[in-house]
Amino acid sequence: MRRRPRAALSIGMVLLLIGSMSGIVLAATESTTTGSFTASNVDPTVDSIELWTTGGGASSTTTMTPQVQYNVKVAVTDNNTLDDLTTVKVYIYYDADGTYNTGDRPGAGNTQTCAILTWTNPATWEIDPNASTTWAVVSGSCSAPSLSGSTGTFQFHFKPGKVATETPGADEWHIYAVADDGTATGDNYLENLEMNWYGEITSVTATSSFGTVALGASAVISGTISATYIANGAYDEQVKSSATWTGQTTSTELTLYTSGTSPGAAQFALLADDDGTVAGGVQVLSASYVAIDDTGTQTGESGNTVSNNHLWLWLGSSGIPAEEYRGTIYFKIADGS
Amino acid sequence: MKVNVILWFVNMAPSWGLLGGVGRAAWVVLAIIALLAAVGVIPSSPEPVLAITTDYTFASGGGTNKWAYEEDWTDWQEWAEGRPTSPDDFGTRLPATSGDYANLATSDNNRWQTQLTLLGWEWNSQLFLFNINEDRSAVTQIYVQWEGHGSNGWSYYTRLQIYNYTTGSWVTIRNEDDVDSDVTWTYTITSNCANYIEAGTGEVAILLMAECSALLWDVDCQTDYIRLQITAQYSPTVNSVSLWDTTPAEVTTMTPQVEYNVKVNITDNDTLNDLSTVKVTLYYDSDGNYSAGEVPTSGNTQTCAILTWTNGSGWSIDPSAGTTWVLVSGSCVAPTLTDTTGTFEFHFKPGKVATETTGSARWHIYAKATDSTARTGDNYRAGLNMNWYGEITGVSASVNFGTVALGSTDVISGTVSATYISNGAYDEQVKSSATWVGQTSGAVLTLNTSGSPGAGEIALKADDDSTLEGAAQVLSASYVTMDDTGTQTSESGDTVPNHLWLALGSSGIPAEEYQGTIYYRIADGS
Repeated sequence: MRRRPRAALSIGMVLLLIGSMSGIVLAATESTTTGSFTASNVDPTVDSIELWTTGGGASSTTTMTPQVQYNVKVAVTDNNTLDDLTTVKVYIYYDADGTYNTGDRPGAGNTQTCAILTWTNPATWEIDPNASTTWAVVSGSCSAPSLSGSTGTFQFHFKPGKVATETPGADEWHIYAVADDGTATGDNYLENLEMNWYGEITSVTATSSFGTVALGASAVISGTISATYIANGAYDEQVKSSATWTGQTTSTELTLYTSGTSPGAAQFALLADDDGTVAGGVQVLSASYVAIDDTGTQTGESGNTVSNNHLWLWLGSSGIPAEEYRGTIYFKIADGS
Repeated sequence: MKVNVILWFVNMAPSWGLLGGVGRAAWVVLAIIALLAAVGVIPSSPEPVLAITTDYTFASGGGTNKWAYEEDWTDWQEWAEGRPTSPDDFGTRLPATSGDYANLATSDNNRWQTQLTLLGWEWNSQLFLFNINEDRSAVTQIYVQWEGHGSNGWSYYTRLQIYNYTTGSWVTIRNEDDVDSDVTWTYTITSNCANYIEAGTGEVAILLMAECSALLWDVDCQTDYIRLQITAQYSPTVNSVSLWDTTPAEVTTMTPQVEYNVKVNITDNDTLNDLSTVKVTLYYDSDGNYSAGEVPTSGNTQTCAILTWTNGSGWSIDPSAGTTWVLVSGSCVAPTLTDTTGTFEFHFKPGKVATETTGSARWHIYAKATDSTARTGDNYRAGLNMNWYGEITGVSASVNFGTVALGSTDVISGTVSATYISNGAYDEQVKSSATWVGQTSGAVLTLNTSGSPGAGEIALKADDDSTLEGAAQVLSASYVTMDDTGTQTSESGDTVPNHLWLALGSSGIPAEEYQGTIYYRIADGS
């Protein structure tokens, strides 16, 4: 830039200058040009991933339980502003050997092993798998940061599916997050998370009858009792009975005999099994469950329906009025690990 | 061109006493020879020539400004002494009477007779004096018409003369013998007319001399009618020169490209239609002191414009091509040309680079009127100012920095060409819009004016060359100067390859194209 030495102006000269300016032509002394540049793309970065519980007292956690709501917090930086992002994806996936390895990342959702949560700019929250699954993205609780900023935390609220694989041994769940601005991506992960056992029994047959039983009768078989077991790991099928059964006319109470198949006066005994043969049947107790099967394994979301459960009845030979008796049979799924 | 053939007669005194009878024949021969030798060709005045012609006669009597006198002369006085030697040498100057003046008034054969002597070879004479009103320097033609007669008889001469005040001698108009009946003699003078008019008084003297015949028959001189016709051609005068704006108000300061009106008030007693041109020369004078010798003779976009009104052709300006000097001919006004005084109004716009006046420098206006006979008059208006003028044109429509990484500094732009036109010192200035806008997302980046852009900010430097050194930090609230050494340009201006340098914040800037406005300005550098 060139500079001209300037002489100091006297007040008189200034006044003269001002006075002479009245006729100055201002038109065309100014012109414009449109300047432009293209800001280059800067790769986004995923600065951190955290798994948090939700609700009051929310805190960081390393263990999940299916059907419980959690919050994956993904801190992302994009110097082109977060609005530059097209998606942020969170992969929550099961790793059988428990050692994080990029090659282990699934490419698609799976009810047992992987869920992919996706935020799509500006405000769409999705999950894969998204049909016939109990995995859930709680979009109403999800939140994205201000997109005009360059750094912020995306919060993915979700519930693990019912059959998200339990991690009883060295196996683990990991969380992998990737931010994509359409041109480049940035990622990060959180490894070694645990998934608790989850079991559920549904669709148990409402009633089952032994018919008319003679006093002193033995091993009278019941009708079929169906039950569906859903579990994310090994499980046991268990059963128990109410301690008394009640006469529907006189209210006479019969007592469950739990020491074998020789009930006394006003007593009865039960065996139970997950098939139609009394062989292998277990003595039904009232104080606690007994397993009729301890070989259950992880099921699908639709579960494992056992439709051939049966009971066998032994009735005391006296002290039992001739009328209908009712009691309650309890079926249970239990962690089989 | 017309030519007039005029026969000039030699003033030959035809009187020599008793030898006159023999000598006259020889003189006649000599007169013929002289006549042939004296044939000349005189160019006429250029056409058209507007002039004022005034007749001086005795129609309104004598006295006041015209007089007639009579006298007689002996042969000796006339021949030997050459009397009268001048209008003042007219003896006792016997004045004509009112009756004589009445006889002289018209051509009606009522004559003023002078018969103061009857002696042969003596002379009766009449002297006619006219004090004309015209400026002797303006007179272009003197026409004399005389009707009357003198003496009869062969070799007795009647002579009509007009006095040349410059040479102090009489010039013969006609000299013939035997003029014993009425004749009409006319004579026209078209050159050196002032010589025949007495300075100060405007007197024109015409002398009639008639020699008496020795036969004593018809010895007198008689004038029926005499007319002196004076034709004057006046020089124009430029009475005033003034500069006006179109408000209208008289002004002393001009601004380029603004319309002004130079009013030139002119008088030409031959009527303004006698003018051939009126030229107005507006010119720059670096020392500001008007001097006639400094008036330019041709136009110059920076220092001079010559506005010309040409009778019959209209208005023109020099410089006239490739210039922003403008003659607003539609607004120019010429006065009524049949008047003798009027104001010519030259409407014009000073050119863009008409030199600014700083210090003692001034513009002057010189006006010159030229008539059909190349007579001129002039005047001037000195000490005018010219305001600063600046214009910026040809600024590149757009400039691009290309793709710039976030956090970059001093990324140079393409060239921003700008042409600066100014009539004086000027500064080249620049500023930016306060924000630049993303063309996809509408993201807004803010101009950082400290040079260290933060998140979502840019900063710019600018200079009039391609080197960062000396570049100015670009602001948005006001202009900053890139160069303050600009000097007066030509009409085509000074084209400069400006550049910008971009610094980009390291965050808060979406990846997309941004656009902002860069303002370039020319400012008075005085």
